[in-house]
Amino acid sequence: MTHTPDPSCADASAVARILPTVYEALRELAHRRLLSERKGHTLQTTELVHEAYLRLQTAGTAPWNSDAHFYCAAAEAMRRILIERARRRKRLRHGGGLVRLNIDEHDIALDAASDDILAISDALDELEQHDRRVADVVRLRFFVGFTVEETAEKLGVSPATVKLDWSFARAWLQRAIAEGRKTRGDG
Amino acid sequence: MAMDSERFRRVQEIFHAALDAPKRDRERFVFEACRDDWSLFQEVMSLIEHHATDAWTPGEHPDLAGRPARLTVAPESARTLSNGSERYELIDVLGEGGMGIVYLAEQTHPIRRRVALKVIKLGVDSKRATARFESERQALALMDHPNIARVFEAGATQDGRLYFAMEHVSGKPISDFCDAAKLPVRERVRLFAVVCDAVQHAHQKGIIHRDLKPSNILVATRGTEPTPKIIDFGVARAMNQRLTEHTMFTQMGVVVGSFRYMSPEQADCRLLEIDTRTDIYALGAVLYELLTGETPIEAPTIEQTGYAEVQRRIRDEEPLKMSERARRLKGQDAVSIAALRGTDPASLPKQLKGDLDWIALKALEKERTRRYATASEMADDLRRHLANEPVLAGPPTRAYRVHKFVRRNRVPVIAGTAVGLAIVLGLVVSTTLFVQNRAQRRVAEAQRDQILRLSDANVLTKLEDEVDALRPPHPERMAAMQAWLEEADELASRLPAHRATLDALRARVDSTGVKAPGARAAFANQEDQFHYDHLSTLVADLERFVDLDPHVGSVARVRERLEFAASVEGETMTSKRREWNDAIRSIANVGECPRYGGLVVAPQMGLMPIGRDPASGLWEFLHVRTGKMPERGRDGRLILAEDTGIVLVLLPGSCYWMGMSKDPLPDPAMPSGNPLARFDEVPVHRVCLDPFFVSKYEVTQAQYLRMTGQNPSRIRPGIDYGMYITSLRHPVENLNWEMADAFARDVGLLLPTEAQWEYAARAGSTARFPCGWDPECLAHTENISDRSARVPGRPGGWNYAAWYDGFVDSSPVGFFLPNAFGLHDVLGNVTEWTRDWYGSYQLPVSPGDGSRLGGPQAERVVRGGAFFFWPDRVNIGLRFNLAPHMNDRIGMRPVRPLDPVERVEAASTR
Repeated sequence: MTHTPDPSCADASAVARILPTVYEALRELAHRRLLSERKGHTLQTTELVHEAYLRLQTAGTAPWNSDAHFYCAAAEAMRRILIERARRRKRLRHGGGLVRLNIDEHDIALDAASDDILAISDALDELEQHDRRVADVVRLRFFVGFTVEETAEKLGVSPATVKLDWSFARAWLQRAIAEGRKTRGDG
Repeated sequence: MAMDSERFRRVQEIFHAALDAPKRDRERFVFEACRDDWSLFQEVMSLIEHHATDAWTPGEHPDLAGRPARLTVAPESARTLSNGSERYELIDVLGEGGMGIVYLAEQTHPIRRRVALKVIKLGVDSKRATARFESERQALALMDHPNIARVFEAGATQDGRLYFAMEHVSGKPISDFCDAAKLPVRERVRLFAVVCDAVQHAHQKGIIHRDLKPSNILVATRGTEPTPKIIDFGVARAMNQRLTEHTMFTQMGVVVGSFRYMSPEQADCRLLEIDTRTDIYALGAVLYELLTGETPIEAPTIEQTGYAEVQRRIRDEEPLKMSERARRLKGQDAVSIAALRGTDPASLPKQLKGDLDWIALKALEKERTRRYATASEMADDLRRHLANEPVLAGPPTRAYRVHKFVRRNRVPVIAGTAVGLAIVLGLVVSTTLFVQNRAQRRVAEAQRDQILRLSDANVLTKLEDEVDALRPPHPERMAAMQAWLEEADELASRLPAHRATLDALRARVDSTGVKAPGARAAFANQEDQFHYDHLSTLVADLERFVDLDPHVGSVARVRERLEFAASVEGETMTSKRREWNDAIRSIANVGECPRYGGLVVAPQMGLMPIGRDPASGLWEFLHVRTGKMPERGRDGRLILAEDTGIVLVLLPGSCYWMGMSKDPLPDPAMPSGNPLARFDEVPVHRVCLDPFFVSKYEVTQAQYLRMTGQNPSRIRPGIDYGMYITSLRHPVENLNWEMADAFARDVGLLLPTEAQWEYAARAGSTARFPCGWDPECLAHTENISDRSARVPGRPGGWNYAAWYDGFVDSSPVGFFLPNAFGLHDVLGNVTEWTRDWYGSYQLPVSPGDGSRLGGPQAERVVRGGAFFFWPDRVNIGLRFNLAPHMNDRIGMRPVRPLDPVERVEAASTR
């Protein structure tokens, strides 16, 4: 099923091409899960992404050239979904009590506070300018929820490299979160 | 934080390499790797610092620390709320306000019931709020009244929002209900009396509502009888909104709505004065609105007037009598408001005139002590009115109006308080007379006891909190100290009564035969237990409060400060006027004191001129608060005794080069060429300072002990080393920054800024030591680690200085020779705390005192050297960073700004 293995998210145009499809699939999946699943069930991001993969695969509409492309696009899609939600929450908060909270829209719970998600996203953009691979590791580890081994496999590098990159990226992101909190005056 | 890619690579490399190094060597390693590049050093260090931390709360959040990241899709969090032990399903939105949203919800665990769930917006410190709520929980649990909605629980959601689960009450706000039912005045009064009863119940349990308003008093019709229910008890307290001006603005939504019911003590942010009588005020405002359709103080808006104006109105504006307000209604308003009360515009004022007017105004008194003491007194008055009996409240007396006039014109506090006290006494007498039935009186007295005790606990907390603000003991604060003492004495006078009540309670335990094995009495009755526990705490706290030892009891402490402040004014500003005139003349005279360059000074409160130091030519002063005047020996040096106060040297304002440099610079006027300079001592930069006073010596153990009653020093007095015996004249050490800062502020001084410290220590020198370049010069000027410090148990080696100065540890302050400013021990004896946060010399300093601005603000700077420093380490530029709570052998050398002439003159003509 893999035709032209390109083990990174570097093939930006290929990723960009499939992003809308993956994004829609993920959104729809997440939403449907919420309507049909019994209450109390929590769903791992990873599961969701895998499910999207299988769905697009079996539907015969798999538009990607390599698995890596799919996961890069999925990571980007998850990131966008999370950011959308974070922004909306922020708007709600800043809009005071005027905007009615539509509780049905809270289909994906951000475990992290909205501001932290936005801080992470910005820090990721900056990281990307310097080192694509470190940024890719963050995408797959953080936004998709892959383990070190899975990430290494998808990116075609050794687990040790992923560990090193992750260790650096973690410090980079933690610092961004801490700075964000400091400038906002909380925590 | 723009960075090119090559730099990024270096950051990455150094980061990874540093993580391979053992933890304690990392900083050193990074420092070496970054060489002199401070910003690179900081970049890498900040990453390493965050490598270790976990900015997210563990467990709840994506875990960057170790396990694979995990973002969960959790449908239940959309419609449910859970904190682990309790779980709620949200059903509907009941309402929204400035503070948050109220949901109708069903609790599913641990029990199933409908609740109103108030979810507070982000921004409230939920951890502290829940803790506060927990502390009140015991009291809330005791509240069981048909007219009070229960508050079940407070907790925090996963994203940190605070929520309260309360009994769900379906009903309308009392004002809407009355209007919808077109209740006449008498019915409204009857209904409102029930509300007062409920508030009384809560007050007896020690709960103050703090936010009573119509929307918190809901009325439903149960059968034919309207039943009011008060909601949100305990919520305001848990939120404990510090309504400073800032939060007033950020939480405009909350406040604007509540201003109309807010008491003057709340509006003025005197939150600690809030007691049960704050609720009485709010009750008065609600009653006023129920009867006239308008609130007593017209709803002002911050946007229009600003917060100060709002405060002023609440504080000063006397509300119109209700009858007057009703009479002034015009046109359609008059007709509709009267119609809603089943009457016409002409008769409404008549119904309100007299009793009801006075009842509302009594509840709305600006001064707490003039209001009804309890909600039941208010309810009783309302019912007396309904029964056509004489009411307690009445028109203001002449004496009262005089008193108000006195207060408004701010004549001395003592006079004002004496009148106030007389009024309180009068009030107690008159209320007692009105309670006719003996049994009734006993119940009323018991209730009054309880409420008095609750409000006394509040007053005590408030007074204890204010003690710190009453320092330094400056004559400016005398009025405030007197006012404080008046209040404290009044509070203390009730201690015997509280003791008696406690004894009576105790006797009840004895008579019922229930005896606890421990100290704590055990009661069969839960309520008695609650009262007993609270009362015994109050009595113990009060006893400490009035302890005669000023280091223990706050009353004694403030009294001592007041006495000092009274004496300091006379001594330094009046009877020492001649000495001051001499000093002022001498300092301004360039021929006599060239170093001051003609500086014009005014007498400084609390300082007494000692004289001009013959060696330095600088003027020295005694800081009267900390001890006695030193004598001057025949050699011209001051002789320090244990009772000597802090000696301050007036340093001229000037610019100087701060810092150290490794590079030899051609300019001999700049500090340079020190191979020992560390990365944080560079670069050399110019700092300009205003004139200031700095202590000639390190603070002694005697001085610290005298002012605080404690001596934390590790070098105890009385150790016999053969050549000398340690004494209280040794410097105080083992201080953390907080202790040093508190001591300085307590006596009206400050810790020096780093720039002030280095300026004072250098005294014009650009060399490695104030005495020059050669470490030999330290032998007579600084107490460092020389061969006399090499005693059994200490490391051997060649590092000790080659001389013997005789001291194993610290030396008495001022033993070694001073620097060019006449300051002793700047590089030896003990290191010294400064006021500044630790940060790069690239950060700017503020003009005047040179304090360093910005930076990470995590650690404070320690400067100087100590008796345990080997000579190769001693260096005037050396900086140490230490967390403010860390103790070490660190002492202090306080400073004080020079009060400019204009200020002193302004103060003396006042």
